Amino acid sequence: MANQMISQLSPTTPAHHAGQRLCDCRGGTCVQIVGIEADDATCRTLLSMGLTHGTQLAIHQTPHRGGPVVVGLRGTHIALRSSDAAVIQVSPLLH
Amino acid sequence: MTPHSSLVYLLVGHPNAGKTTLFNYLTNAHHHTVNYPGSTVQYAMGNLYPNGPLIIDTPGIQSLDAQGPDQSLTLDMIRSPLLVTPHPIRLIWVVNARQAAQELALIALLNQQVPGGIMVFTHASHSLFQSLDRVRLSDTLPLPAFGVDSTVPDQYEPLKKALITGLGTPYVKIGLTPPTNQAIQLAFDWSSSLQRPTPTGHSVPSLDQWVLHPLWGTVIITAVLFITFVMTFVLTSPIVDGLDAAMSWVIQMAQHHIPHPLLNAAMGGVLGSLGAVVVFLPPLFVLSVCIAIMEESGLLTRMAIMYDRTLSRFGMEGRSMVPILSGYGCAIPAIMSCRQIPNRRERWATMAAIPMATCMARLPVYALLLAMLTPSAIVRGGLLTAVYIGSLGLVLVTGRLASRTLAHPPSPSSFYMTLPPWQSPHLIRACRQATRQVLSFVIKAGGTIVVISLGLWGLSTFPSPEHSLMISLSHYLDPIMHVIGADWRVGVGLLASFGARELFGPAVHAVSPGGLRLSWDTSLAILVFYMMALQCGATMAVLKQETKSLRFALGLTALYILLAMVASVLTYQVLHTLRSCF
Repeated sequence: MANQMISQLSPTTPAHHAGQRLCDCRGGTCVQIVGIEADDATCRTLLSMGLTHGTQLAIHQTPHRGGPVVVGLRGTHIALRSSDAAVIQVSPLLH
Repeated sequence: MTPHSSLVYLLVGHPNAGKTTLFNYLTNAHHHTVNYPGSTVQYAMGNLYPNGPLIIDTPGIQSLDAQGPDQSLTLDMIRSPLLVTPHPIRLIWVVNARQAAQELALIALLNQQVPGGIMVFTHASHSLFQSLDRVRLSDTLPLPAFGVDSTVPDQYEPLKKALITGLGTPYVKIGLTPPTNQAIQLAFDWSSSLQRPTPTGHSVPSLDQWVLHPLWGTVIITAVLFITFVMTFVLTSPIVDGLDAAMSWVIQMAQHHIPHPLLNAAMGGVLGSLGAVVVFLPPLFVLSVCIAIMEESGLLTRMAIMYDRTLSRFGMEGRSMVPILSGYGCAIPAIMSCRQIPNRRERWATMAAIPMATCMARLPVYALLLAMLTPSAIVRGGLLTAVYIGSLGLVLVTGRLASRTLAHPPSPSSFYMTLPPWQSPHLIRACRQATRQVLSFVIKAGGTIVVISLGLWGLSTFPSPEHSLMISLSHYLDPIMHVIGADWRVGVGLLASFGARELFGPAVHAVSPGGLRLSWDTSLAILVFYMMALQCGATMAVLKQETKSLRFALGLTALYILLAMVASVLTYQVLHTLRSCF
């Protein structure tokens, strides 16, 4: 399980495996994190905030002209800079 | 049994976990703030009851990687509590029950390295707390747990009783290493499994749909800032006028009742200088109250989020919004509040930009200069607004230049903020906080002002009023001041304001008994000087403390003074040439 996670978080993960970027998602949808494509420091920061592999996100606000992305996860709401949201790969959740 | 007074508890948790509310309940708000050894970062400590267990509040942490000086302090205190208390320490993990699935991951990671603490869930009446999987929780975190809610004060009693008995494992020192990425992933997987439903169950508060909206949010925030400035400057003006009149009356009465002419003049100088400070205390108070209300309601966080895009273009980030805003009151608390900015380069850039914000101490100088420029109150108001807008421009430009020239290695900049829930602000608490800020300003500035005004009086009185040291000094100052079309009296004002800016008026007044008239080009040149010059010893000291770099503090001060001199001379020369042309 651990090996699988590391490969998903690795910068070399091909984009087509990872799904779409969080910043490209539509507001009001729900998605699941499938990977982060970033340098170690950014990756670590996002992980520490709980944006881990498999985390389900409710997208409340999408970036408008580079504005923030607001997502709901585990009972909280987090605002992210759109460039940070761009490194998070997500896949849509079907309900 | 351990004596109660040697029981020490450290409250640790996320930024919005409810630590401070819990702390206030446990200590009955009888606490004091203490400086952490070797730094200016403050934390609060208080006793459960007189001579009872000591409770220490810490800045919230989000991870075991230090994100800025505030969070480093908490991690240092967990590592070596001996730095702040001679007794072994016990930990209280504070968790907001509404977001337990997010916050418990950090507790689980810490619990692997720290001896067993106590868990306290705040907002325990919330339905999400009832749905928490207790069995899974106690399998991984076999710690005593308490649920408290500020709406049910009785719930605090079992916790207080447990704290008196010395619950939790005491320790004096531990090693704390950041967990691996894999461990973080596993901790969040575990904490997510504790609470249902999925994130879709929580909708974003309806107010946020407006405040964080790209268009409406900007309109709302701009309107709030506009109202804040109107309240700060327009609504306080009758009070300021009243205080001004009262101070003049006090000076007159003092001069009337002190028979000795020398003593009389000294007293008049000191009172006049103090009068220059008193007049900007009401705006400082109102601005501090407004900022405290914005902070407590949760609006300030939203402002930071909305302004991140703009500020990141100028080498800063969203969280720089808060220090810049309070920099319009006083630079000292503003520079201290930069500690919440995790990225070092952005933190230093913000600290470098803050002295360009028009602090309240410049207000009496601007008032004096604008009064010489025009008799019309409307034109003066317009010019003052222009000065404020100009200073915002200077803040942004210096932020950008500083971030480009600072020698720190560039590190990737991220911006993220957890949205705190909206809360109705507590006006009395905000007023109390503002009063503390204003009082600390008065105490800090008061001493300097009295010393400088006595010095000025001494210079103009000894050895004799006709051949005083001040008159000798004027021979040197006259040619220098000529480059901005002024004479030695303005020079004395400028020199005095190196101690405290607000002394410009009283100093000029003290050396020109007949009153001073300046041409409009000279007035504008002096105004430009005050917009840029860093003439505040306390700001310099706090810059040095926060950056631990004397070179940075001295260099910035010298640079801004030089810049102010050049800009001021240029302003005068250009305007003077234009005036003589037309």
